[in-house]
Amino acid sequence: MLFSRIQSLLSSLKTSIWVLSGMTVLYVLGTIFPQGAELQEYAEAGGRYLFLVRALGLLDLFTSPLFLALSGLLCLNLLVCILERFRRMRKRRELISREAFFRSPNLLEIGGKEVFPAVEERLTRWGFKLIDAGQGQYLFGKGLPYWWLSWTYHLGMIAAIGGFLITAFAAHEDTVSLWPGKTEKISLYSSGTRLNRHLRRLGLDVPERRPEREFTITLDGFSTEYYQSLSFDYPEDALSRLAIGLGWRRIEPAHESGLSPKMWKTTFTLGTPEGEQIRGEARVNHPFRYRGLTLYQMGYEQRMTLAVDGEDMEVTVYRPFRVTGVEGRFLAKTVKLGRMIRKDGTIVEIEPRFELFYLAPDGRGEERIGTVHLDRPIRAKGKELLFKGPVVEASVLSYRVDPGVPLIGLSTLLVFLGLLLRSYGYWYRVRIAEREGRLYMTVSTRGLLARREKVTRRLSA
Amino acid sequence: MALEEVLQREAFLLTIEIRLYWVVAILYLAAFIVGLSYLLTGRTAAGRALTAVLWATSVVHTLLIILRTVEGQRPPFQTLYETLSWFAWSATITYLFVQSRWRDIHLPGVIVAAISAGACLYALLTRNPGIVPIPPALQSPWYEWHVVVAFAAYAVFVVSFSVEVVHLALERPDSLRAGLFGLPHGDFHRYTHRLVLLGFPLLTFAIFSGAAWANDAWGRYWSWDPKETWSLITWTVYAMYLHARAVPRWRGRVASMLNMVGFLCMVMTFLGVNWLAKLLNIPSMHTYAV
Repeated sequence: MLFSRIQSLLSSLKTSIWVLSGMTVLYVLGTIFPQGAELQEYAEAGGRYLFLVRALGLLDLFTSPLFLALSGLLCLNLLVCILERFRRMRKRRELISREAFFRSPNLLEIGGKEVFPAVEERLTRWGFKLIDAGQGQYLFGKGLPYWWLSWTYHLGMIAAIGGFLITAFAAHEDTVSLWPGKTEKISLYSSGTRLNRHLRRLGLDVPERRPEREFTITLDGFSTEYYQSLSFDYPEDALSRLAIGLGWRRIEPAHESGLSPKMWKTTFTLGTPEGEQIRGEARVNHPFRYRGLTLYQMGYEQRMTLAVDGEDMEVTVYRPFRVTGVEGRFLAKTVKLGRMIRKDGTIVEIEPRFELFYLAPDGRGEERIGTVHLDRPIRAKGKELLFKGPVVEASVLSYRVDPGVPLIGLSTLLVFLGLLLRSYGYWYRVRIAEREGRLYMTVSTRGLLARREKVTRRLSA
Repeated sequence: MALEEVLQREAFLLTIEIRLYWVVAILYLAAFIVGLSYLLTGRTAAGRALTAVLWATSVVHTLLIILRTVEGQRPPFQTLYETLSWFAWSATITYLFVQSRWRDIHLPGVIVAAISAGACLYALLTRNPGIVPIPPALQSPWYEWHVVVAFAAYAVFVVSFSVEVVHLALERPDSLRAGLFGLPHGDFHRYTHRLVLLGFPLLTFAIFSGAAWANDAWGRYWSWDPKETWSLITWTVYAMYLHARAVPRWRGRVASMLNMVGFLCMVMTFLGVNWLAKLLNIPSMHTYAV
């Protein structure tokens, strides 16, 4: 009794809506509270309701017990629904009782019983098939199996949640900086995944390393390409913009405003655990994949030599550096290197240069010193800085092993195809029954391509 | 062509484009005003004029979209300036396509015209029209599919929202002369339901293609980035709407409310997330769309 009540509650559409609304509230909270922040950081930034934030895990909401519990409930709801649907679909006899048929609000009289052969012939011509007959009723149908499609995409959703869970527990990722001439190690195995941590807690032996899953990687080349960046002197205020729209002001041609990135590309040699050497290439949006390992082009690091008052020092881009006799620190931004595709289609080699900034002590602000060109000295805070080069570049690749991806891929295919066919396809059921020498019919449809009016009109005619 | 000539040509084309964009915005406003007059007078001629102005606007707007594509030599939906135009255009085209099946139902066009005018004016008054090259993150085979399908879904939801607003506004028999607008009350829910059924798989594809793209670009198919999360919120709310339509007691007012909340979530996904990210200083990986 209790079991059937729970089952009926869990398979109810209302329960689905309530669970989905609960999930929605949590999603919204997840975009308001800074995810991944520490409670102390949150408090220092003026965050409030600390007790609630801590108790509900709002700073790491998408792995919090509250979120996992609600996701579990959603899963359970989906599972009970698809089991219930499966049971009903297997037992289902589509023929309904005569009483129910004649109670239908869409009941239409189509003529005397002698017209049945003509109606049947017409339905057959339109592709309908006789599905069932009995108790003076005939059921014709055509179209996609709407119940099964609906069942399929719900099943796909459970599989997607399963894929998410596999990712959350078993995926691991890391980054590797490839400097020229230096070989790095990357591994398809990590002892730090959630799954391995839990296994260790259970007392199972989880190795720290698995050499048979380790690769080596060496940088062969790294290149950058830029577009010539242009900007218009476009007014900010609405009236001036309106004046341009009305033709009272014209737009001056654009002027060069720097460089915008076009592409970063890394070529490398991958050493497999078996000792094989494989040449590979990774670009943004074009990862390198090999035997479960995926390498992504993320960014790059740069080192160069600067001479400060004649004395050489090595500087890493985006890492503040000190110069003797200067209170604050300096910061070099990206050194622009490589090729530039100009607006007129020509390609030129970029003269190496970077933007230099001065960072006042105690975080009192950032001051732009200027553009520093190769072999051209610049004076800053009483010092002479000379960009001597050479610039050494490291490619930053991230690598990831995610066993959840195949299941996610399959489930998204199930969900999308199921939804697409269910929503856009067509499904018809035409029921015909005779009473007192007259024929009556009802037409049910599903899907956007189904035209109930058309079938009703043509059959009535 | 020398660089100077290229820049002169670009400035010339941009001047024409901006003027054309203003014409489009003014035409949308004109359509809105004609729609208001239809609302006030209830004359069918005014309703037909509203639809006619929207048709004319859509022709000019199509020319604007083509011009921008030629200017940028890439799909015209990279910056917010461009996507607002694309959003208004796709919403209007979708509305006109749907409306062509309704014969004398014109009233939802008032809302569509207002939304499209608002989007165009927002772009013209606050965004920079400069053409920027495609950054590495957007150079993906998924780019065009993801954006076009996402905006197709948005367009359908705009129309669904417009129908729903009109329905709710005219629901009470004493509120307005509903009968004068050729609006059969019983059909409204069927219209909005069919529209959401049309848009929901599109939104699903947009989310899935975004996840596949993220998997190629960042190595993670899902990062709980605010844009991703809000797209999931929008999807969930429309899923709730579709479920509510199957519950006899909720298929009326409750479903209507969910449809409207879904639209607000869609606007939040499209525009509000950037605002929220700025306001709360939340990092977002979708900042190139600003």
